[in-house]
Amino acid sequence: MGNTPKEPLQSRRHFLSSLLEAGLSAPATWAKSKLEAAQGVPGEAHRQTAVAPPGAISHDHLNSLCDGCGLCIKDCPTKVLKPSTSEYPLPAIAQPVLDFSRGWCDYDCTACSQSCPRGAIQPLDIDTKQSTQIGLAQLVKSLCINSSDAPACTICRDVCPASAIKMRDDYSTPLITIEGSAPRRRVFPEIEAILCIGCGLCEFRCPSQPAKAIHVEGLKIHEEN
Amino acid sequence: MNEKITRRQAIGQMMAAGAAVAVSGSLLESCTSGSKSATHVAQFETSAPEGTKVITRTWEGLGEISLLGLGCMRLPRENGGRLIDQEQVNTMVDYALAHGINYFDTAPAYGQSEEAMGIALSRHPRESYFLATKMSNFAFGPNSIATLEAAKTMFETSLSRLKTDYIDFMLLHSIGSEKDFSGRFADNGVLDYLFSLKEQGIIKHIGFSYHGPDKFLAEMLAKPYKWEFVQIQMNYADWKKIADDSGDDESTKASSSGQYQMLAEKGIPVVIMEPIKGGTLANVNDALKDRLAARYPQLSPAGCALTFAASYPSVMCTLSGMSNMEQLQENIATFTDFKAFGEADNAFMMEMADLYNSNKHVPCTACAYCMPCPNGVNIPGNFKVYNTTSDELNIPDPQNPDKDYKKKKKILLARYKKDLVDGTRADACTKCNVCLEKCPQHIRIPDQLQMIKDLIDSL
Repeated sequence: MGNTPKEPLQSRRHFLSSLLEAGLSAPATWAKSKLEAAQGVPGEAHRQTAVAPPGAISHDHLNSLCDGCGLCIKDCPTKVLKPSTSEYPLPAIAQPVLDFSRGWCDYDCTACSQSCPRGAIQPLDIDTKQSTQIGLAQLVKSLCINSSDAPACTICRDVCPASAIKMRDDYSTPLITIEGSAPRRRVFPEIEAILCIGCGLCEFRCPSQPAKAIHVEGLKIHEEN
Repeated sequence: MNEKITRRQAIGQMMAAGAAVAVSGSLLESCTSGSKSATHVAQFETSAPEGTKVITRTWEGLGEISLLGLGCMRLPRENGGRLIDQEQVNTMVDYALAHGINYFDTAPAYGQSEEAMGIALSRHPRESYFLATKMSNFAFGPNSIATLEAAKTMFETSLSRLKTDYIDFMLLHSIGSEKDFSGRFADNGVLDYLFSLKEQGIIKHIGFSYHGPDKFLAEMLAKPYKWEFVQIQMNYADWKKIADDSGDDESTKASSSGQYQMLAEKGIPVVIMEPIKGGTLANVNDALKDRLAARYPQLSPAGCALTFAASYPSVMCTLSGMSNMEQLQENIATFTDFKAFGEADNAFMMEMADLYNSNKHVPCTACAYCMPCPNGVNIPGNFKVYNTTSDELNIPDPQNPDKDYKKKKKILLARYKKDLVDGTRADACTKCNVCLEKCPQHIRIPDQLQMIKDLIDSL
């Protein structure tokens, strides 16, 4: 849209319509994301199982002990933690849940576990944190940049702090042959479930648009590797 | 195992008749839609040109044999469990035959393999394929089955399972020493029995599969029997020395090259087993993979391994124990546009062999002859954890911890703890030694398990 100055009547109309839009857009965005989730299309709200911070032990443990004080969310250095709305079953609300569109759970951080005054997030030492599996990354191949003929994307493998992602050559498809470049094998990330702790750095950094090719599904009961 | 004539079967027979049907991935998918095997079929067309067949070699007295054969020891299982996925076997066999693969190698020792292959192959004209099976009369311990009566029963059972009244290629299964050969074949009349079957035309050709030192192979070839073919372990990593099988002196030295050359000199056709060393050469580490891909961009690491082995002129057939459609398609692609390796390529592959062997491995091919372990140890599983981690250069060294020590320790411990179920890890080994004589690679299994246990304990 250009910067044409509007007449007062039109600019008021414009103001009112944008107000209306803002009022209407929140439920519309919510509806759209629920629709996407129902269709199985990864979008902002695609996660089927919420991800709870390491130290929470399990969703039940967190939901029963957390009183929504918000100290963990305040202390989270990457801002991945946010207050829950419908991610946990009612009556749990405003409890810490990870949203990897905002950040990731840093491999060297235990801030939330240190700040929780209720024991809902148990304090962890760094070694335990790095062994605590809060979720598992999953790939949707059709959304991955490597499904196109663009140069290979290895970002998720490159950033994974747990070395849980390997690039695997795909022999089921022919070599990618592009004028001016040597033929090359298509590669896709392969996630090793035993090593993945669900930290979400892969999801956060995945450059796929409009939907992430890789995302973390939470574990209702955390595990240790 | 469902034998009703289905649309699937009818289409399979059409394919086998060599109809010039473009077998694209999508066609296969519609054939198998609704079955478990649909998930194993490639989504895209493969690089093999439509309707082409694998390269063959013709041998006097033996026939025209495809250079790629299906090894039937690692057939697909249902849901990764124990039962063979018959539908997928049928699909693979149909596809293989349609692409000119006509050699199928099984054995009584391979569990339900003979039965599964009998079902799959009997849907095709008998003369369209060569069947190889074996006399697996392994004489272990007090329940030895090395009697003549037992051998007769074993052979008749093979015929019945394979749904045939003749065997093209019969092998003495896994010969390795004089004691073994005499005890199982020479002294008990079993070999005479097999030769009498040959006279009757029930067996066409007799040979043996070999796991032992080069020296004893020479002795086998010097015996007064006509061996029409011999099956040996041959791949680029084992070319100079078959790891663990080989000692250092003349009487214990074992190498693919030594064994191949002996057979080539005598003009005996060679069937190759383990061209991809139990699959380990398909999953080489990045450094090796990049070097192979740089020189052979059209070939996968498995394709390089197969091409190396199959290029040798005395090779009659290269057996690959393909476990799913992707592997079958990939290997067919290698053999439909087969570009044989020459001297320069072989020299390069020797460099790659050195690179591969510079990483410490337990040379296990996951054949599982050692299983079940009486104490429940998952022997191939333990070795796989070790080997995978070693190939990634992730084995931690507690004596000389490097900057990645913590990461490596974590990776190895996570895999050891979670890839292996409680009670099946290396620490459950009691050194009962029952496994020792069963291993065709002659791995000193209890020692290697001890090595792994010591490493884990030291971290």
